[in-house]
Amino acid sequence: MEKLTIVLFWLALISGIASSLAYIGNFVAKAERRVHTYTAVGSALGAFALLLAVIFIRANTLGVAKTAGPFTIRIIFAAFIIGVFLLVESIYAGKSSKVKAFGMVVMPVAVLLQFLAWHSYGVTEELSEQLNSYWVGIHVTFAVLAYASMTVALAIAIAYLLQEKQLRAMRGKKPGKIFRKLPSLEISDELCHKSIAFSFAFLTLVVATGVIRAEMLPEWSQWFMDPKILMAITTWLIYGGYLIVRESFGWQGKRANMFAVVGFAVGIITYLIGNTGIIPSIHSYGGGLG
Amino acid sequence: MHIILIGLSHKTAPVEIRETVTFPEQILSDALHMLTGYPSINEAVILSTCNRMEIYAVANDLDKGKDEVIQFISDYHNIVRSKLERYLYFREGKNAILHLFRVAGSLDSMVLGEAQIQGQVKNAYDAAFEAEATSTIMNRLFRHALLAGKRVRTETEIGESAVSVSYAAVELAKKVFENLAGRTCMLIGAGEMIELTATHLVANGVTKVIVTNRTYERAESLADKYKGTAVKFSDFIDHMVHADIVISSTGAPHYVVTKDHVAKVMHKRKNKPIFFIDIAVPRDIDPEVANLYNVFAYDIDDLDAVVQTNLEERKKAAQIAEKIVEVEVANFSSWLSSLEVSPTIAMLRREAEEIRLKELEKHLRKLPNLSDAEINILNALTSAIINKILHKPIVKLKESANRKDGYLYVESLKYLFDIQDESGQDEEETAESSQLSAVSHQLSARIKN
Repeated sequence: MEKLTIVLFWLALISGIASSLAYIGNFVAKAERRVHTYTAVGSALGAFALLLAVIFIRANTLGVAKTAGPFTIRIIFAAFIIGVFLLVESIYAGKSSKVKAFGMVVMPVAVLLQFLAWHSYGVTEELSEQLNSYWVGIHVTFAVLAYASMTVALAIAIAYLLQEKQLRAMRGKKPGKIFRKLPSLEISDELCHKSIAFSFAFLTLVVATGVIRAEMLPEWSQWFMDPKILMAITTWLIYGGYLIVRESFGWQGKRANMFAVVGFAVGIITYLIGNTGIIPSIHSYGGGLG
Repeated sequence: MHIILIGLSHKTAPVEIRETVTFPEQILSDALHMLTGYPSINEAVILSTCNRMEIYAVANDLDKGKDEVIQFISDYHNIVRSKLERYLYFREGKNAILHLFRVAGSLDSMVLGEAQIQGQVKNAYDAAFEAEATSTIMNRLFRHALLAGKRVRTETEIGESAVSVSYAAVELAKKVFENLAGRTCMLIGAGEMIELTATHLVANGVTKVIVTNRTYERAESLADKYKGTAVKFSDFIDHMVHADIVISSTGAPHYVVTKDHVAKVMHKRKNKPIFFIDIAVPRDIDPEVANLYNVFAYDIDDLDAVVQTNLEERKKAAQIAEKIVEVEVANFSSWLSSLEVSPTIAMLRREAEEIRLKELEKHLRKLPNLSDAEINILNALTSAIINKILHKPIVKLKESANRKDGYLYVESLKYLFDIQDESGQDEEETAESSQLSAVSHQLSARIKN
């Protein structure tokens, strides 16, 4: 069975690459080709399904305890990014076909994650007492979902900022690919808003389940002093801030999208703390688990 | 059989001439009947738009066909031939095909890449098809031309971007707002240019129009046109809070909309994006407003810059389009030439084989004592003779298929061997046999002439 999962994994990786290339091809090409569109969406769907298959087969044959580790987390992450993106694309297909331009960023990120996953293939985390809990399972699932929506939001926010820059410098800069191929500001802004609303909801659950679990562990009684946990709460606050300033101050548009970029950056720092050894944290598990 | 084109367009004829030789839809069927009634004209399609009038025809004879088409135009519109001929251009064969494909791909249009021409070509063909003025060749030619036109539109960016100032405004607005449906637009001024832009916006979905003008009556009459509301020039800033798109074109010598105005409006709008187009010279809207948050402001030069880049893009796209058209013309031409030769060869072979079998049977009856082996030898012998005799003409015929006058050999061959078309077919002819009979009808018609 292990052989099968490895074959499926590589097939997923190849589909991911094919999809990335097709999305990029559609962006670069003079005009949209139907072949590109079908390849892009089809391969993305394929990669998503294959990754899910790998995850389930591994969990089924090896058992959840044995599969817990950076490999699994990263492919779950990759699968979720693709899933979130495909969901967004299908919902918005009727409104703006240009939404698929985001695939150009999202799919390569998913491919990168799969490479990182392969890099840590075989590294498993001993499920210590700390991790052996329902709460941890829920906590990790929500964290991956939150990060996946954050990544999609980042891609959209960058697209927004690029498009706005182009629109503000119409005379100086010739309208190019960005102008033609990226969605309108309205759509980007709306999509970024929705993605962030999602990731905020998941982040809330991540923080809540994390705190509940921490309270259960006597050795974690000082959890509120830990840099990683504090940063995670900061990320949550930034995304919450985005939602508030957008609604109450009318900060839709550029400022909101910059919030999304900053939020993602803080999110990445949060992830790196405890995983790289530069800043120590009690929330530190083998091979970049969380 | 020749494909010919005779026509005039914005490139060769002034509007005074173009408007006298149009064929509007209601007379098209009648005109086509008259045209195909001429002895040399087998099939015809009349393409008549405001920028061109072109007649595509399949003629038995090149010179006669050309002459008859010109005669038809001059008769139908009562124009002296010598006056008409100055403006006409004439193409035949591959050049006529190329011309049509370029027209359908909007490569011959006044505005490169304009979208209307495809529909016009389609309508012209449909009208001719319904009037039964087309047959095998024109059907295939026009369907192929429409296909080529479609390829040009989908595979290049020739028609993607705006090439007029007022349309560029719509294109820009659509980069800020995904959809103009349900948006409110404010017009400051009531001039011609503003009306043109407003018409584009309304056509793209803008539902509410607010008009203001120094003379209130002008504002009212323009507002009526779009079922909008007119507001007094003294307090239009108060109404601007409702507008997503503001177009300004007044004769004012100074700014009518200042940064302070817009800052106030944006505050009331809670920073909802707003889009300004200033088409006045001197400008009406302080360019400084573009620095305000979520304010997008453009003047006439910005729009012109967009139009210029788009025109360049279209020219680049047109180069790719020309290649697509070339490929499609080659495809069509090879179909056209094979059309005549291959069925003729098949018919020739069939005829020869029939003769051979008949003769073989007849003579075998006189030789009842032959063994199977001997019969086989006789069979092979007769086959070999027939094949050897037919081999060279068939090879030569195939060679001539790609030549311009290839059909002449086909015609001679049919005449010499007296190859008849299969007649008495059912009404439901297959596509292939109808092609066959169409060609041979034309050929036999030619022989009679």
